[in-house]
Amino acid sequence: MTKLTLDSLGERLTRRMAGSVSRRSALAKVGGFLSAAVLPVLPVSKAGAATTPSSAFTRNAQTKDPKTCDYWRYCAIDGLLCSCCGGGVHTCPPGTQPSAVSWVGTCINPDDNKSYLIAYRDCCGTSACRTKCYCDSTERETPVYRPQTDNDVIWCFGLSSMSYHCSTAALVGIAE
Amino acid sequence: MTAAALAAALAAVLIAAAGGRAHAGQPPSISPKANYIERCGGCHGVDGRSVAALVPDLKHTAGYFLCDEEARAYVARLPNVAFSQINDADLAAMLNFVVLDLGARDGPPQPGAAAPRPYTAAEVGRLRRTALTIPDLKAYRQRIVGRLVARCAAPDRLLTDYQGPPTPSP
Repeated sequence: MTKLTLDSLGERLTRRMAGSVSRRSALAKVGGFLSAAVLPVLPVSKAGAATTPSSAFTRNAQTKDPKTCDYWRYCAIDGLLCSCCGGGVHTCPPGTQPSAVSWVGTCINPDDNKSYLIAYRDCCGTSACRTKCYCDSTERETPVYRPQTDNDVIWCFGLSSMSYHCSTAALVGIAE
Repeated sequence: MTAAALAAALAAVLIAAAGGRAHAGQPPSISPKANYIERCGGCHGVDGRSVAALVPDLKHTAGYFLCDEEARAYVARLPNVAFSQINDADLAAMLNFVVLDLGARDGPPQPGAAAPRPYTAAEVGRLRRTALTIPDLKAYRQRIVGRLVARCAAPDRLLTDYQGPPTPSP
């Protein structure tokens, strides 16, 4: 007597299917459902999740030390911290120029639990700052599905030099 | 169970899972200005000005796009507008902030000019379904702003400032 295991059940089902339908029809149906029903929804889900107050970044964020990646304003930063390069949270180190364009993120300040709009401006004009303070936070970033929401951009364009030095996190408004 | 039934069952489960997550993840509504800063202001500038040659200025200029129907539609059909991840009502409110507030004409309203008509959620919902897909968006923009300058008293810089999108970074 054959024992009914998951393997044998799977094999029986597969053999029966193989005998009754063409592979192409099944593949086309499954593929069609997958691409039509699931793919368009994924980026929306992630975008929504990014603004949910209980993100992993927010739960671990601190407001004291701007030289570490868990500083609250760095929730969507991607780059070297100017705080470690002779500059400040929102000021460029001497000899560099702030970019006119930026990536913008919404970060929650754990002290008052409010959402703030943060502009991540690059400081440009000299070669990359030699520091170990590199952070890559991905709140609200969805580069695979939507290239326009990719924060891995050098924002120095429009300035005289495209040389990237470090990144700042300026507070530009309250998200309400 | 036939393959078709199996596929249908699988799809039903996936739709339910994905739909549920998307619904639960709806971001809370924020003000049109905050939406602008977060979604547009990085490149266009928090106050509507940044690098005019690479990213069109909006300050005191975007409002002229309400001058005719094609220009009006162009704004809502721009890919990054049409595909932005906010609902029709929030998108309409954000566009109204851009065209009526940020991009309003510099100085007092033109004598005798009709008050600009704000975007509605239904209108934006309809327009964004036909997002622009033409390869040369700049040429299309130039044709539209040329008309705005010629017929709607829009400033010449609308036509001359913008040189095209930045070259992709390495």
